[in-house]
Amino acid sequence: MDRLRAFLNLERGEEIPVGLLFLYLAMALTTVVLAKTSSKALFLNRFSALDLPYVYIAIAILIGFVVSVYIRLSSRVSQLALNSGTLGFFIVSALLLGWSLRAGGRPIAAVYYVWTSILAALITTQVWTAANLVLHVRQAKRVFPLISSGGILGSMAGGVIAVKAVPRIGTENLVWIVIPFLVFSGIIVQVLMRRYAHPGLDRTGAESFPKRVGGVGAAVKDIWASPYLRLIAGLLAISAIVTLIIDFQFNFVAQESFRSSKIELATFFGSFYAYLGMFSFLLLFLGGSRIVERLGVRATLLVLPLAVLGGTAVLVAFPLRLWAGVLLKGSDTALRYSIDKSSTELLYLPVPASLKAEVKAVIDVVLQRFADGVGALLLLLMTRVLGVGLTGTGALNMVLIAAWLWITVETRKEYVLAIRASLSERPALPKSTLQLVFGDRGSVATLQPMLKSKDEEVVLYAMELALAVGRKDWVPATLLNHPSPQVRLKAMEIVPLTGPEILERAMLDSNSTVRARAVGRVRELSEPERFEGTLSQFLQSPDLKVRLAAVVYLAQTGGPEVSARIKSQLDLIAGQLSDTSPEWREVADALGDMHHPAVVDYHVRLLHHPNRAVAKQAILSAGRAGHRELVPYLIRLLGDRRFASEARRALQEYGPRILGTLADILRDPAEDIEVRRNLPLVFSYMPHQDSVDLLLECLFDFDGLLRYRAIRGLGKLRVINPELHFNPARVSLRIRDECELTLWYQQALAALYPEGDSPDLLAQLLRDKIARGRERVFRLLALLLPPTTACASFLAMVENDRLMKASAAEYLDNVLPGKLKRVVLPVIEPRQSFLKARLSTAQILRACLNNPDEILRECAADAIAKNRWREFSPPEAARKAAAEG
Amino acid sequence: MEMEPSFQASSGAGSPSEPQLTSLQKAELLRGVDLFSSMTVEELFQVAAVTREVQFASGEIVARENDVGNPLYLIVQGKIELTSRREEWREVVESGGFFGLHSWLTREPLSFTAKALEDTMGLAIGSEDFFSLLSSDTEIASSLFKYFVKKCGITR
Repeated sequence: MDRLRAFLNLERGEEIPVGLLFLYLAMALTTVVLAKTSSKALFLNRFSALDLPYVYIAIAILIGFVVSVYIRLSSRVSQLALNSGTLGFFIVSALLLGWSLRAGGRPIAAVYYVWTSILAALITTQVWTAANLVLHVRQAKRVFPLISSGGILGSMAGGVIAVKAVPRIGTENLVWIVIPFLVFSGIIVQVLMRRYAHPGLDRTGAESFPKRVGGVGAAVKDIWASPYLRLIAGLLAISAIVTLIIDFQFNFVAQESFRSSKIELATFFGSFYAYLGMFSFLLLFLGGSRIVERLGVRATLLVLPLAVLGGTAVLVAFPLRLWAGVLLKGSDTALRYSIDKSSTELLYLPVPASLKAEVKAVIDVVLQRFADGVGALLLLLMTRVLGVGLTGTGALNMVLIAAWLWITVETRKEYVLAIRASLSERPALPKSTLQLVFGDRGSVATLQPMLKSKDEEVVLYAMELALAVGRKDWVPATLLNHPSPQVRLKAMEIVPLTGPEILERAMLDSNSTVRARAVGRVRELSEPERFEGTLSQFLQSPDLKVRLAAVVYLAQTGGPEVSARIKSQLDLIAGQLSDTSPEWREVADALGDMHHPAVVDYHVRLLHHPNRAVAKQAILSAGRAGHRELVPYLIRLLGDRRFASEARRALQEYGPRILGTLADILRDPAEDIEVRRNLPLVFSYMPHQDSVDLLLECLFDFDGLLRYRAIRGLGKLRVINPELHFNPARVSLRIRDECELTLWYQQALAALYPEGDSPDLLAQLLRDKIARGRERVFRLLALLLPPTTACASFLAMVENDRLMKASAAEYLDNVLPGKLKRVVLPVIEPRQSFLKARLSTAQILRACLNNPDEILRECAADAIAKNRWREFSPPEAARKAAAEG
Repeated sequence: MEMEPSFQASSGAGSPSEPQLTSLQKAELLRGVDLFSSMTVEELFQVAAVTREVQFASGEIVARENDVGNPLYLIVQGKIELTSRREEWREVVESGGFFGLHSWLTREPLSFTAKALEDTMGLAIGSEDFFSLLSSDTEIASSLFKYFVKKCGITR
């Protein structure tokens, strides 16, 4: 069974739905061929061929009416009801036709002919609509060619049955044979749609398409409103016109070649179509799915127009040569009903199911008939009016094929956009969201009542909002009189200083923190010397906060001449505090605002203060102070788990000017690994090209955690500054390495634990590594693709939504370059064939035991010790190997 | 000055035992604790590195009601009885169970007294050690977030 699945390119669980769709299409085409054979024979028996145009007109009018009713029904009932109802209608009408045909008469032959045309148009369209609802985009790409081969098989079977049955039961009774095939199709539809149709397919990509439902007119408007649907319609219409012209050219060449013998001509047509049918079936059944999957929709859409372009060019160069006609018609027919049909049906997959039935009915039935009419008029114009022969129609066809190629190229682009749209239903919130919401003038009116509120939290929130949108001017100075000290403090930090009186008032505030903040803002005034006297008094203040604020002012405004004064002030403060005094935190905080070389020694001392909270505060304020002398101390602290987080934040505040120093540490393999592991986290907050280049270097480090953090850091920088350049060659190289490693873990997991769930830590570890590997791959892809789409693709993958997963995989399949695609897809879309390990269980376990990753070694030894694998060496030997490893 | 909380500081009960468990065994024990269920194996090994093995004799008080700075205890072998005088409540924690999570995460006083009902071996994770690990390793913090999101039933 596995071999058959592999041969047919099927995955586990797909056998039944695909088999049913194959049978459904085979039944439909058998029915169509049987009905067409008998209806055509009866019509030509009872009417002249010259009456055919009247029937064509009747068909065109009736098809328009039938499709309009069909579309109205499709918006009211489910697809299951629609398909079943249609089949039921044809079964009942076939019964009536069967009785009527026995009675004979000319009109019933014409009715039968029209009935057959409507049957052919509707039931084949319904098979493909059902296939669209059962299979997601990735499955469809693989199995549509196989399903198409069912159609070719059905056509051949219909022909054989007709040939065998007509001599025995007569042409009129052939319609009775149609009925069991229709009944069988009805049973298949019930099973298929009830058990395998995916309800979620209704919503995929719905936002990108119009939502009107109604008759043909409304459906045409829907198609016109969507660039994607417009292109599909154009593609299929122009392809229908080209086929008509090719058919004319082929018939013309054949007629010229077998002018003398009708029997030779009939034999030629018979042999040609028989061989072509067999060739198409074999092409689809044996290799079609692999061709479409390997080349992708975007490439296979080009195969038919390019082939007929070549064929037409040959026919124009060698007119009236039978082999040239055979080449043209053969390539058109063989490819159209095999690879091209599968590819064009795939184009409907991003269309939401709510629109699919009506849109498909209009494009496949009405539009194609209309295109046939246009093609016929063009041919009449060329041959009867302009009097051109094969060369002239060939030239016309080449122009049409050029237009076809252009539409194909445009459709390929829109196809990717449609898939992308289905993924991007949940875009990441842009960082500018807040500005968008509060950035307009009208928002002042919203914030003002909030700023006047008596509720402390409301006012604080309003001030935060004003700050976030860069509108400090919205915060009134009156908030400095607010009863809440928290509000006054926040207001003191942000209100614009329109005059000294604001600070004079704040310096007398009952809260010392507010007073200290007021002192800190003195230098913002145009005449700060006005406060000199007040500040001298503050240096003597018993309140530590106020004294520190005065020292900060002194340090910020003075040069080297105030060094001694600053030191003496700090010594004085230090002398008054015990080692365990919590006020040291205030001192550590104030040091960050002093920006004076005289305080560096004090800062170094506080970085190593025995009280962890003081040391943390000193580290944080070191970032604000920006003294270069403190950088080596901060780098050392990256290695101390207790202070690493604060040290990172401090180093981030230094900005790109210290990147050279950090790069030296990063490149030193002898450096403490914990220090090195923290550096990517520092770089990721410095939006500078040098940070990006250093992080790209980290992508190839021996340490896994460092690599992972570098990947995350690069993603963050991409979002912060999209202008930065992320060397695609290096990123692609890392993606390839990550994919290979992840694929190895996938294969190891599948080989060691084929039964699935296992309580072993080794199984869990392998699953973790696979999940993290995939995450890394997506994070790296986000450096090459639009980040929001890569993010949406990643979410689709981790959320186990099979439709979104399929859309994500299809999107990547279409946008990634070939080399990258071949390594990425097996990782994000693991299939049985990819999971087959090339190594034996013993080889995989030995590789785990000899891995540089200590945890992997330990987990492997543990699993072996639990005797999970009998064929492997005894547990003692494994443990020994692990210990030696 | 901020004190370094540890299980010894909190109650004076129990004693750090000679290491008997490997990192892997500790990781397996941690995996059984709901709080750590969203962590990867590598993260479990990191948490295992900050655990300490402890032993309590039968009848020994492990922690007292209103103690602060208690570690999180995981029972490897034995039984611990938890009683609250205030709420007149009693519970027995056995092998594979844990206690002290609330006070460990919130740093609030313990709401019960814990006493060993038999000779008991366990693992203790100091609150400060764990929070240092969280602040230095954002991936572990992220795994904990995942756990709490699941626990709170937060969905899209």
